[in-house]
Amino acid sequence: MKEWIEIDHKKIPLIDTKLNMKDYMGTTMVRLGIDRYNYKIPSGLYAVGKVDENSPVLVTANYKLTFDALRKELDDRGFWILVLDTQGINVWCAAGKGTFGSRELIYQIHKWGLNKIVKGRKLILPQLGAASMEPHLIKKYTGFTVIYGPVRSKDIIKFIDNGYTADEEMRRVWFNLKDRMVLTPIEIILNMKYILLFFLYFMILNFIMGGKELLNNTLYNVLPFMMANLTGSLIFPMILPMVPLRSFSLNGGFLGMILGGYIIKRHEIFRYSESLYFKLGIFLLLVGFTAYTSFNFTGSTTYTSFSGVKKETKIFLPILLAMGAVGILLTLVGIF
Amino acid sequence: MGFKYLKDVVTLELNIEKCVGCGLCKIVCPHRVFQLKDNRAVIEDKESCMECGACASNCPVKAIKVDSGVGCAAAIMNNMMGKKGKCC
Repeated sequence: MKEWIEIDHKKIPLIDTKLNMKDYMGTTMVRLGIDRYNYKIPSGLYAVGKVDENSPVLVTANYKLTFDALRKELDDRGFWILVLDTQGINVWCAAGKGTFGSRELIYQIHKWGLNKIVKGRKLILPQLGAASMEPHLIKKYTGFTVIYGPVRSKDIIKFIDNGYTADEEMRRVWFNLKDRMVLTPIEIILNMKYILLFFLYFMILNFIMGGKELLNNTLYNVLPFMMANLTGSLIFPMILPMVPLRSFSLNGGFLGMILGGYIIKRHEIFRYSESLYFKLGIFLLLVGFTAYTSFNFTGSTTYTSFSGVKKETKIFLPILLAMGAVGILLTLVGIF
Repeated sequence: MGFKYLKDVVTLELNIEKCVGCGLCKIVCPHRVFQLKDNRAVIEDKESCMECGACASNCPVKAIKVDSGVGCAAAIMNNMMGKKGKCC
């Protein structure tokens, strides 16, 4: 942040358009899930470049990753940035939840007296901020007209220079390999709590069985489950355009069967019991866990519908719980 | 990229009688579900709808209805198992 400017008796922070090392490190941390609910900036009005009362007003969320993604695409011609309080959540999710919505926008416009700071009456909102916006109400209560800018901030300058028009490609959401891959670290990490549970389970079993080479054996035992996590949280997102079915849990189950088949065939590598019951139990647990981690990816995609996920959950959740219970039971039967 | 999820689940509904042809639904849809024909909106690609609700929210005459909740699996599963789940 450079300094402040004073306008209409208010001090507005003047901010940089270049990201520094601290910003990049912050981005890395939240992409790994570290402190991701706390990565926010204060809401309100900010200024960029040679700003004056004729400069455009861009509206965004107070998630710092979002704010950085926007400001790094700006030049120094002068912009106002109105940051809404979405409690540190990105624009698209916040729009779905309602926090990036008409109410908060109207509130911030009135709070900062935007009508006294700028002459124009246009607000540029990111297209993905539309889900909880009601332009007719915003116009009614503030006098400002909502204009939807492009989906991606990298197109914002082109959008403005084109006279505030977007072509079809600027308005379409992508979900290419890069988009999918940046989501994978957090998916893997969020599923680690289940790996811990499996670890504890195997540790207890090994201990009851005599406890020889306890840590070593347990680590080998849990390795296939880490592989299942990677299958659902990394491989599945990677190959998403190529999967045969539309249901995420079915695709995951399918991948889980391939993994499970291999693990059972080479069970001695993972120091599993010879017992058929035990191997069957492991197979069920691996298929179920792979299906679960794959299904969780629906929460990170750009295209899965609410009704679709509800339908899949209704069918899949009971099956998953049953597979888990039977799987555990079979491993116990196999051992004792 | 033409990703498609499950078939015949989407709850999107357009009341053509109310539509005034403002075109906002076409602008805001992330999957270009709507087109404008003869000054009225038309649903061209219902299967691509992700039920975000942008169209319904932005429609000045409330001609569009869609069931748009928080769609992440974690929250839905938590709700089904009876606990108040946090997804974000």
